[in-house]
Amino acid sequence: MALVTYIPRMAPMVVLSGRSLPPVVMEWLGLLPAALLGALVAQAVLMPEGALDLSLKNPALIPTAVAALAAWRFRSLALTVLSGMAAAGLVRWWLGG
Amino acid sequence: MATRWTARERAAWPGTAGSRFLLGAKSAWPVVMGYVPIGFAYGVLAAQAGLSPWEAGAMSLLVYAGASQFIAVGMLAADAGLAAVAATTFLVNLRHLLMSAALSPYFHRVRRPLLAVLSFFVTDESFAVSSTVFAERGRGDAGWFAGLAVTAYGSWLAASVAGALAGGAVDIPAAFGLDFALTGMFIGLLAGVLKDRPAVAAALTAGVVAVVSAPVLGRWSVMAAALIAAAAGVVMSRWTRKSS
Repeated sequence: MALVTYIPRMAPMVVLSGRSLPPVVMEWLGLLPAALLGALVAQAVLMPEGALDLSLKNPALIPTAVAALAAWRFRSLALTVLSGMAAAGLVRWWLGG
Repeated sequence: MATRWTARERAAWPGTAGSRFLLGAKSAWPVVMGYVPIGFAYGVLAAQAGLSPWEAGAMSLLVYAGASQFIAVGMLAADAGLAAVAATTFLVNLRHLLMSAALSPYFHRVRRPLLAVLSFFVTDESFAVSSTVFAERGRGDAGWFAGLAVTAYGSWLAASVAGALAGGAVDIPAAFGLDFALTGMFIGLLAGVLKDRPAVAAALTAGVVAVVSAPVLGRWSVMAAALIAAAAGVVMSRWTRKSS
């Protein structure tokens, strides 16, 4: 795990120092973070127990809306995470979990 | 590779290496503000997944990647195999390829062995802070980056060990919403990368593909969705540029 984390961080800096990649590759790499995070968020929010749950009983829906609002309003990672966690805690408490 | 700076390049970062290190440490505070709650949440979840504070701390020490550590802990709790954990972690970490590539021009006179050390500390958050500062000053500084990196790394390590100790000692109720910490972090990071239409299109496409393909592809669905959606985003942006 340490290796698979380190290699993507190290290789470009060490190998590229001075060189550059073709524009198509740079563009594709540039879109990878948004695509990856979009996939991760969609699965975490819409499939909290591993199966698609679009009902209002899905406990991730309200915290996600709160976190998204905080992300848009404050542009701060810490506030996004904390407000989402607070909302998730409230939903749990309200549902009696 | 040349290793001497021109007078103009030196002027961008005045002072001794020590003073630049301290300046970097001071610039780390927004990163620390983010790492403390997320690192703590990771520690608690690691303890709940059966990791000792030593193991949770060792993962922070050696891996040092919030999202990957959360995913690893979640997968370990679900008894996923090590290969699946390593493969998923690798995919999630691929985004650092681009960050490392984007920082490399700023370090063009720094020796490769030092780059190999500095690059360990490239995270979403340290990248966000340093790319802004380097763009303002016109070039990077290894001493400043080291100060930023060491401070952020220390806070991540301390917060995760504290979380693991707390999670192992007391039963932290779900009412604290710790199970949402990772999703919250993904949302915050996603909001940060949705800068233009191709990015939004890629994220939406990936979300749909990931959900639709999950029953068939299982844990590989995230990777498949991301690779396909990023390619679709490239095609989309080139096509709209040509037709307009």
